[in-house]
Amino acid sequence: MTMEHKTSLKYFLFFLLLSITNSCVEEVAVESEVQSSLSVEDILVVDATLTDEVKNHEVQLTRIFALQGEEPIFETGAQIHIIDSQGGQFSYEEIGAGTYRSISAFAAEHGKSYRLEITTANGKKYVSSEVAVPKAVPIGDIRAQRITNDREEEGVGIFLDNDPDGDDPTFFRYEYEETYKIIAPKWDPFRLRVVRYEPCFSNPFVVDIIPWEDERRICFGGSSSRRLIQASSAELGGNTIDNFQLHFISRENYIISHRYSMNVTQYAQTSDAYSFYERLGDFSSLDNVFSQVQPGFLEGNIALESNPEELALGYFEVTSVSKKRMYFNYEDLFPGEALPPYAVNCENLGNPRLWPEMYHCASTGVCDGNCVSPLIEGILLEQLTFASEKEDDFLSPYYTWPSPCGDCTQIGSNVVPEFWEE
Amino acid sequence: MRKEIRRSKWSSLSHKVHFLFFGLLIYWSNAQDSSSIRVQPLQEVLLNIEAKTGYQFFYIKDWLAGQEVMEPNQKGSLSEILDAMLANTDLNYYVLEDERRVILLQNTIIYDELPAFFFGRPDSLGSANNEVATDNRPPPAFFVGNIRRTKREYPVVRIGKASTRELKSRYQLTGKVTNQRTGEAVPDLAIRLLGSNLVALTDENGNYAIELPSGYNVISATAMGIEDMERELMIYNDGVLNLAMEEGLQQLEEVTVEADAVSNVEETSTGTESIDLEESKNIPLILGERDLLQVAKALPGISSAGEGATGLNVRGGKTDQNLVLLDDAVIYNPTHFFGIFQALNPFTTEGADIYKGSIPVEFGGRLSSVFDIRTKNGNVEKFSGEGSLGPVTGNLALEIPVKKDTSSLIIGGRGAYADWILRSLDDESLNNSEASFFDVIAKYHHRFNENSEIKGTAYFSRDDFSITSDSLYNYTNRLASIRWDHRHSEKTIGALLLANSDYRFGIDFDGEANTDFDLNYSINETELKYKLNTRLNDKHSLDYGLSAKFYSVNPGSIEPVGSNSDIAPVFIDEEQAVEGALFIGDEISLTDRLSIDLGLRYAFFAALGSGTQRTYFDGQPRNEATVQDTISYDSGEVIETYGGPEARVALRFLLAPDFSVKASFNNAYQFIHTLTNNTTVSPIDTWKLSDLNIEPQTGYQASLGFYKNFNDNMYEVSVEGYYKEMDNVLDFKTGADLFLNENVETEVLQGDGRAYGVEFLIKKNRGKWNGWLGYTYARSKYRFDSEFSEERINGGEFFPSNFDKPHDVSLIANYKLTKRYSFSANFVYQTGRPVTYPIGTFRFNNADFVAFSDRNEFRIPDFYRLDLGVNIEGNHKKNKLAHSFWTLSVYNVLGRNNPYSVFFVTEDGEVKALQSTIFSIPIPSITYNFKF
Repeated sequence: MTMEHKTSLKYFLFFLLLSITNSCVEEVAVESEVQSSLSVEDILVVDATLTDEVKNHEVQLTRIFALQGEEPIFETGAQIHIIDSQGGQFSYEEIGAGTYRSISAFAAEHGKSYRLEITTANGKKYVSSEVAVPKAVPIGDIRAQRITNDREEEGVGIFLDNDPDGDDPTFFRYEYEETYKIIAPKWDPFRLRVVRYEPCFSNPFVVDIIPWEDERRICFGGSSSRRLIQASSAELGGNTIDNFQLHFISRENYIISHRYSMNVTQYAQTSDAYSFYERLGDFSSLDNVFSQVQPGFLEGNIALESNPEELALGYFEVTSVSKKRMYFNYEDLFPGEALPPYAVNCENLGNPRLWPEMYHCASTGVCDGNCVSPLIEGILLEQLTFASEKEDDFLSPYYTWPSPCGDCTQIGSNVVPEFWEE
Repeated sequence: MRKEIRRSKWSSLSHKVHFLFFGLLIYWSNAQDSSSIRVQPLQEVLLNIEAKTGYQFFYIKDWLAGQEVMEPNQKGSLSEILDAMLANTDLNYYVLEDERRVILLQNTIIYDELPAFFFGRPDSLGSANNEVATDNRPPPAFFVGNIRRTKREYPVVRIGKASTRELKSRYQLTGKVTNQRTGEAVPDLAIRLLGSNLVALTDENGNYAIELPSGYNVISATAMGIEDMERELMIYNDGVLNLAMEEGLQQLEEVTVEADAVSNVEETSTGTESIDLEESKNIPLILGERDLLQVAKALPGISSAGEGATGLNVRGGKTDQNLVLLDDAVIYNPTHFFGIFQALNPFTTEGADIYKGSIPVEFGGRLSSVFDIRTKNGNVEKFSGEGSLGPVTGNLALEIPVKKDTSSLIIGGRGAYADWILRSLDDESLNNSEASFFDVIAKYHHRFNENSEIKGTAYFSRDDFSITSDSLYNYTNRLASIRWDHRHSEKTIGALLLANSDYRFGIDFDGEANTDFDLNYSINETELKYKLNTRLNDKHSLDYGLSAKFYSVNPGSIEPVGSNSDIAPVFIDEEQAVEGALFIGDEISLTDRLSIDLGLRYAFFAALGSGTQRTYFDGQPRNEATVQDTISYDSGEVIETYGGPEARVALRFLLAPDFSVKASFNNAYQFIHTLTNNTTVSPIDTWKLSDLNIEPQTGYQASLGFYKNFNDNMYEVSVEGYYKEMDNVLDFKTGADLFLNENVETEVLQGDGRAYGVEFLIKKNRGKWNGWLGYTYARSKYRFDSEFSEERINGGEFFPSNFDKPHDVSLIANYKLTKRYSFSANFVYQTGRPVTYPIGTFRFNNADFVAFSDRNEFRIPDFYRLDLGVNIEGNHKKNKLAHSFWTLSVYNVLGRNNPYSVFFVTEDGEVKALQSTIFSIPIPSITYNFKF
């Protein structure tokens, strides 16, 4: 075999591999000027949910924005009403750019159906289809379980069951808010305080320690679900949803280190709404380079009244809401096992200089060297917290931690949430 | 050999006997009322006349042997007597009055003057008025030696007796052709005058008539199942030549070549292509693989969604509308490795007939096309083989004679061996990747006698590939077929065939978690078909028969693997169905110029239990909420039947012998559909049978074309236009879950399609330069409309399909420099295919998503690619073990980065645009081929 042959063979094989391993997928620049029969601004985006809770419901109106755009264009000055099947009418008012809230508090009532009407500032009237209130289904049980996921990660799975009455299949969308207790691992009762920071004056750098004035050891962090979570009993054959995995948290994630709570909101959906959300998810993910899911215009249930073919993007959803909160402790699932690593690395003690290197003053108040104190800057920028004093070191008198290690408010709130139960 | 000669002598003797007998019969019928007539041997009569008149006769005794004539009882001149007496013999006479001699001649006459212009052409002005009748006499027939005969020796036959009153430049030869063994007439025997285009065919009674120039001619006679014959004739006058033909193996090559040369003009059907794999071996293709399906894509009207995309789109039809047959058995996925390689062994495959217009009446069940792929018959004389070694694949085929001249076996095997090289590379992420495939084929054929032959084929192919390290995909094709060809009589041939096909795929998921599973899909079909062809007469040729198919589909199952798996097992009920057809077609030659194919096929389908089917409320979209009832069916119970008549009509009119116009119309039913919600075919798309809720697809196609051959069939030019409509084609709600879905009808949309186009093709068949240039303008649009928005696509308007590429240019050029070196090039240009492209971003539910326009509103950039190849034949030394050649090719010489797809994902709230390309750089490859 000649050398040349070998090279070409390798060349080819390399290429073959590229195609096998999806590496021939490259990111490309988005064509900004896309020729379309629809101009971007033509499409109204409606995000409207009406629940069976008595409250002031909200609707958000935006326009589609360019692919590289940062912020949506908010649709202001629209008139919004919701009309029920018995003629009841609920008006909305604009409370912020593109955000509208019902003037009165009301709830979607079972047995009625609702219609959303939007008249935009340019006089176009959009109406939704008539949407019935889906049957209310309470969340049955939510629990946390220690599992290993399909990427070989160990962690906690959060599972949900429900058991609706009747035989009709049910459709749900879930959102959750997680709240978790954070305990700063290197918390100290004392904190560093900057007493004096006046370079090129007498006694220019003074730092001391005083006790924390408020809670800095135990905090609460939280976040909301960012992906679409949907479950349907239709795919399971029966109408009960058993062991549906809402979320997975790796055991490497510090948020489960102590006590974790999840408040799950279950939106019972119509099958049409379920399908809308499902398609929304499918269009924004990719499974296999060789065959791609066919995307298309995401048809919702809102269209121009005068021309039903001119659709608004988005959905008017009427839903029955059920909420349930659950808690678990790390110790319950991983008894006696090491905690997950903390949010930041708290292994390395710092010993920043109080007095800067190359500190030099030309005269009083006139600095002609380096007059920035790393310790004081760190304290002022809340980058450091107190670890311990360093004896006999005038230049670097304190050991420090990165601030989240000793001050949990850096990554959470020290206010105990009202709902929190120990 | 000796036996043959003896037989041929006997046969020519039998002609003579026949001829004489015929002649005597006429004689007797003329002479019935005269009882006094006596028959005497000719020689005796001549001696009598000599004695009475004093004239002396000169002749060769052999001429008179066995000749009997009436005793002349009339008074009259010698000429009158001789005329009457010799009327029914092949003898002429010439009387030399001065010498009182009579010269007898066999067949010929004596020219008593020189032919006109014997001494050169006189001044035309001067001679204009002097012409006499005899000037028009054609020159005498001399035995010319410059037309060489190539076949077995037969004695020269002398036809007719020259007559001074009937001298013409052409005489009519008529006769009857019979099978020497059975005595039956041989229809459709071609009688050709060598060195000219003159051809005559025998009618259903074996009769023929052909105008031949006077003098020495060589004619050949060829027909299916008949030993070819060549005869030397001396034509003196109109005459009769009856031929008794021996049965024999026809010389396929010669006949095929001849037939093909004019077939594109002469045959009645439209939209038919033939690919001979041996002839297309020089076309440079990816990785040096000889690939029938890739060659097919270079023909007008056949394309795919993209480079490396599985599945062919024929004339705007969907990928599930092609019936791909390998030796009569359906092959569900004829490709390996996402469509980059064909799953057919190039050395065992003889070729394919592709029907994209008028589909023969014997085929059915798919709307768009039939690929009838045939495997070679093994060599019955000696062991031989062929193979190739390429960078990723190896092919080998062996032909093993089992019984000389009777039966043989051909076996072929292919495999890809990239795996070990993949693993030996340093990149860790590639070490776990896997892509391998193989296919094997065996075909046995046995010829019992001239009238009966049996063929059996078995085939298996398997692909394994992994995209992620923990899931292994595989798919397999398995098929077997057996076919018995039988000639019932000279007029009727039949073929009985039984075929079974199986296609399945699976995903083995073996991760560390508790979700290991084994997922499976399979479809199995068995077909029994009996077809017959009867040539009723020279105007009608009937094709008729029946077929029955049984389908059994496992639409999907998933099972947990290992005790740790928490996967809930799901088994979707099996589907069964029968599909049957009765068909009859008549090929009618109305006149020499006009022929019509009339075909009728009745297609029938019944979905069978056991199983359950849902019914949905009328006037509501099909979804979970609108289920009316669920019906259970017992095993074998009929769930629903569909069917109807299919017309196959084609018409050909010859404007000139090498120029024709053709039109055709046909419609079809299709009862089996692929389920896919992807933009291109994926190997894990499933096939679904029609049932209570999913109706069969139907299609109609009309086409019109002009076909012209030039320069003795060296060039073929054709223009063909078509218009096609399809109903109930399947598409799916976007983002539909199709696999493991018991109620897939809630995701299925059935709409209509419309495709039209014009295909131009210029072919050069012979010469140092050969190849073809094709251009197609074609559109393919679909529409899914409903009163419910969830069952509509693009607001119920027509939209271009994923494979709608209006302009498509293919050029294939081969140049043979010397016997050893040949070059070839393949150029493709296509309009970029439609894709669904986002028009912007929108915020919904606190996240950003891309908003897509209507489906397929944009196009990716145009596709073009040039491939070049060189074939280097090994030296042709005698006694070399194997004949070999090297194929060097470069795929995508221009390095064009042809996009395959453009898509968008949302990652961390940001929208990213991604483009995939299958082959973005030139890919060289070298393949070693050998033959022994």
